[in-house]
Amino acid sequence: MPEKKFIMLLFCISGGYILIFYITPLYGLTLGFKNFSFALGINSPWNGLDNFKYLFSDKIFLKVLFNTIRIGFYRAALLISGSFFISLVLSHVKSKKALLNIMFIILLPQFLSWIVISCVFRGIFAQEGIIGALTGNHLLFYTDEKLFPMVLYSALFWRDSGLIILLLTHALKSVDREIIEAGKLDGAGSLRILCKLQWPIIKQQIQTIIIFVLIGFSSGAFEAIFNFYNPGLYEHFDIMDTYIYRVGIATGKIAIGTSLEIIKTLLNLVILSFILIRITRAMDKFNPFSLLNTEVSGKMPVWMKIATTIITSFYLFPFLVLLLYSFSCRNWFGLLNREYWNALLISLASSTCGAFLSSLLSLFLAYAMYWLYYSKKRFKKNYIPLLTRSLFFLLLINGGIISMYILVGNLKIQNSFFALFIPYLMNFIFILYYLEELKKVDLVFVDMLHIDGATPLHIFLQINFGIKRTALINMFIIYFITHWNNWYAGVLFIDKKNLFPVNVFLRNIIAFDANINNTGITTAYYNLNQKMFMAFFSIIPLLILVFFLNYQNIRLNFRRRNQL
Amino acid sequence: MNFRILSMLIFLFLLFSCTQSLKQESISLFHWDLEIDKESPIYLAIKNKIGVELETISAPWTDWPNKLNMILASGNLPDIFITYGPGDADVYEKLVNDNMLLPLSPYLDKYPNIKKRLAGLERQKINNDFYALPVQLTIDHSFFIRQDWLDECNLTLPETVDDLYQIAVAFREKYKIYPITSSPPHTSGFFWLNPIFFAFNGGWEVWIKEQDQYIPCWISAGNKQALQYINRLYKEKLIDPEFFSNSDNDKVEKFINSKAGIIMHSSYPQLSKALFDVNPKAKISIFNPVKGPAGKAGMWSLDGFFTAISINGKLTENKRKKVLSLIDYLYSEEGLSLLRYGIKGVHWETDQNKKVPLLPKENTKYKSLENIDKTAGLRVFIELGGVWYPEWEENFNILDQIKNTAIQYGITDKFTYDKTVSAKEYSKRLYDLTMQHYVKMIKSEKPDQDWETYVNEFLASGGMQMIAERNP
Repeated sequence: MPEKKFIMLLFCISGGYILIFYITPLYGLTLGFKNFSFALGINSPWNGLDNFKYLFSDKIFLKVLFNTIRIGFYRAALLISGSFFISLVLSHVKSKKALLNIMFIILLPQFLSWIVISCVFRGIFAQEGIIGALTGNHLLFYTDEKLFPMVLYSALFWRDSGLIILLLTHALKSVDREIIEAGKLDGAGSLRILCKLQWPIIKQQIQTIIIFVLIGFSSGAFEAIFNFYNPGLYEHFDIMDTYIYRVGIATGKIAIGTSLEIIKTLLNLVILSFILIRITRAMDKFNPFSLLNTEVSGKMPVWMKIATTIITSFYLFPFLVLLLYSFSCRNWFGLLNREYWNALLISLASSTCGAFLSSLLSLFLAYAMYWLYYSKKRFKKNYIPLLTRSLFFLLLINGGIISMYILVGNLKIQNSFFALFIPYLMNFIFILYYLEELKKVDLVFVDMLHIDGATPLHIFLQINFGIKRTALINMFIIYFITHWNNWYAGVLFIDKKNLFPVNVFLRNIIAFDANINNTGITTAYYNLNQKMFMAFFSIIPLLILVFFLNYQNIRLNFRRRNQL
Repeated sequence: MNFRILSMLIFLFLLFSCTQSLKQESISLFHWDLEIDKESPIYLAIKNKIGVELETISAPWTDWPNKLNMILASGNLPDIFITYGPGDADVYEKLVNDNMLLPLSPYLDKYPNIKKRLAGLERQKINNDFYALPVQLTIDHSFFIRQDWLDECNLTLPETVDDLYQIAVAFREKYKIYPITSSPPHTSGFFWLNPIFFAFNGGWEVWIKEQDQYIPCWISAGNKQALQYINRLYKEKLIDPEFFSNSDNDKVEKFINSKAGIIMHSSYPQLSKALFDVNPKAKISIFNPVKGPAGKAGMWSLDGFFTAISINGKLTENKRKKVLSLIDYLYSEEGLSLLRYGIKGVHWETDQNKKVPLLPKENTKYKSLENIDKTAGLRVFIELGGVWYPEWEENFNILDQIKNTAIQYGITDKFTYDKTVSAKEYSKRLYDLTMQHYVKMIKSEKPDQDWETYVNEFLASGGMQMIAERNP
């Protein structure tokens, strides 16, 4: 098959998916301009801007809008400044092995779903939790609007800061040691070195990080708030997404819910617009795993060691709480019933299939884009920036839950195993990450393959499954975790208990009220220890896999470097 | 050659279409936590009777309204589905006006059991017709208290709000705990404290006559007094400070782990079992809703029904008949008996004219029929927990007592099925607003001042219109 046709085929497969699952549902946004009727559904009559007028005359909505902006801003500020501080400390860690281990610990929370995190944080901050017991139950973190931010922001930081710290530490470490040493010799202090020497070099990476944090400006705190809050906290912590769920879906105000989706998207676009132009450039620097190749030497000051220990403890503490509660659980064997094992198996199977298909589709798109990049380098044709920007645009908008629900229903995959992963196969950040990895492949190597008369398929296999195998494994791991933690697909598209993934199973126990049987009678109560045990047990397969693949990954990396 | 291939493909397509159409027709049912076992004796009995397969669509208890709204919005309606019925007028009426639900009046003469269920329920009509069959429910809520603690403190069961306060003080002093706790979070924990609101002449989800006009109970003087009472419990550490955010599970956990001694809840058999599992020496008692200063007592209730089942209004004539036949059968004595007791010779037998279970036992207790045959769970389309328990239920007498107390003290909103336009528009938002302010008032140092602010905001956010429409 000629190369162009091969690339077209890859584009068509991945593009077909994007067309079906990203572009088609956008039509659902028209509901925001319609007077919704259950009988007519998406074909309901237009009503102009009535829904928006209704919203902007609503005091509660204005409060929600303000909360969204406030929480989005605090989240971004905390994530960036906190991560920057931690990265500064970690950039002084000299032992590469120690740094890798610390990084792994810092990244661990990202493997957990918010369902599990809500359970762990309850064990810390609730009345019956550790801090509750230590403070004699005087501090009411879940009901006092002044204390609740501590729970919310610490959970957000604990969960979401890992990748940012990794990127920042890498950026700080990428500054040539000789420049820093020269600065020191000239009598510059740490702060002066940071401002005058490190800052100009890491500025670009900081911009990238700001973009990543701002992408989740309006929705980044949704899962945390959704799993933590109660009506007493609505006034200060209700954000657009929780409001869409409560008002748009729960009360059947579909058109209002869609209008809210549109406003949320616009808010995201406004926030990002001033840096949107820089996205493509910033993406060039996105490579979270290149830290593995950083070299350092020398000794670390004592205060830095203490600071590092504190930081590591902060990330490990919730895991410790999870373990403590789990091991003090009575009758734990009885908890691992058939339903639980079934849910675990469903999660394992759906995450594996999902990660496999996701990696494949992302690989097709990234490779096709790489081919355009290669053409640009060789034939001076430039399509990449337009494509990357289009992808980012798609990342920022979606057609809302209703359209996705209709689509999945029409595709007849609802209530099937496939509904757990098919609708959420592509993540454009991961695609761009892989594209950047591909761009590192020496063009001469590709030229050589062409000269040797290799078929397009052979070149494709050589590059992706040969040279870029590590990056592919990384992408697979990240997709696996994403699919494992995606409980929303299970809640939305699955009706049958025997198809519930483990996070939906846990959500029904942790977030809601135990087992209510068909006649509305509660059949079993789970205490915090039992919930923690189930949460802990649910993350074991994930941790084993991540540990295994991570070490495999490191081994591969070292082997490759040694070969070089 | 091509023509032959084309003919072959057309033939295969027609064959495939025929096999599809020959497949037995199925009826889809939506309800929370609904499961059926297609090999089970009860399922086969229903299938043989009606001649249709059944398919279920379900969601967990707490998610089902959201799931239903998604299904409705997508236009892929199940054949039979549950809604809150006329009690949740805004969504239900929209469905009726959009012709999504089958009007039942034209079919009543042909389906006697459906007619029997709807007899005397004219109040549930919308646009002069029935669009839903209400599901029967008897409230099985009750106050529970640790009797062993009462005995140790030489106290008796509380009858008034003052007694409740005194007992709470005694429990706090002796056991160093927060004696009372409550839940669930979406009501800020106030739902299970509803008898306290009624005791002070206020209420929960009802309209109250005050100064010759009906007002929502939320802004009544009675509710203000009840909040002052709860505020006092809160300040004196007599009520769990986390009651705003407790899930029902958290509340029960605190009770069974002796971190609280007084709760209001349902599901007595499970609650007592959980308590005795943790603490075999514990004793548990139930007590009636406490009386307020004016001697009034009451608790939230319904008019005997909760949720309703509706039929998709866009079914073909043939399918409509099947669906109506199925529902009529389930509502018949034969159908109800099948779902309550199962099949004679398989699940039960007669001995001296009494039904004797053939169900397996777990410890000393018979397993429920639903555990043995999931299809028995279809009973949720007819009646919910509290309406009926098998004669061999070991807690039968206590459950009967709880049920009778709930009937005796239950207070229902007289305007449940008569919602005004503004009530449909604003009541859910005002409920949210109320819960937020109630939490503030419990924690407040100046509850009176906060009450004024709340009432003003309530009236300005649609409350005034609601009151004006209710009192023309």
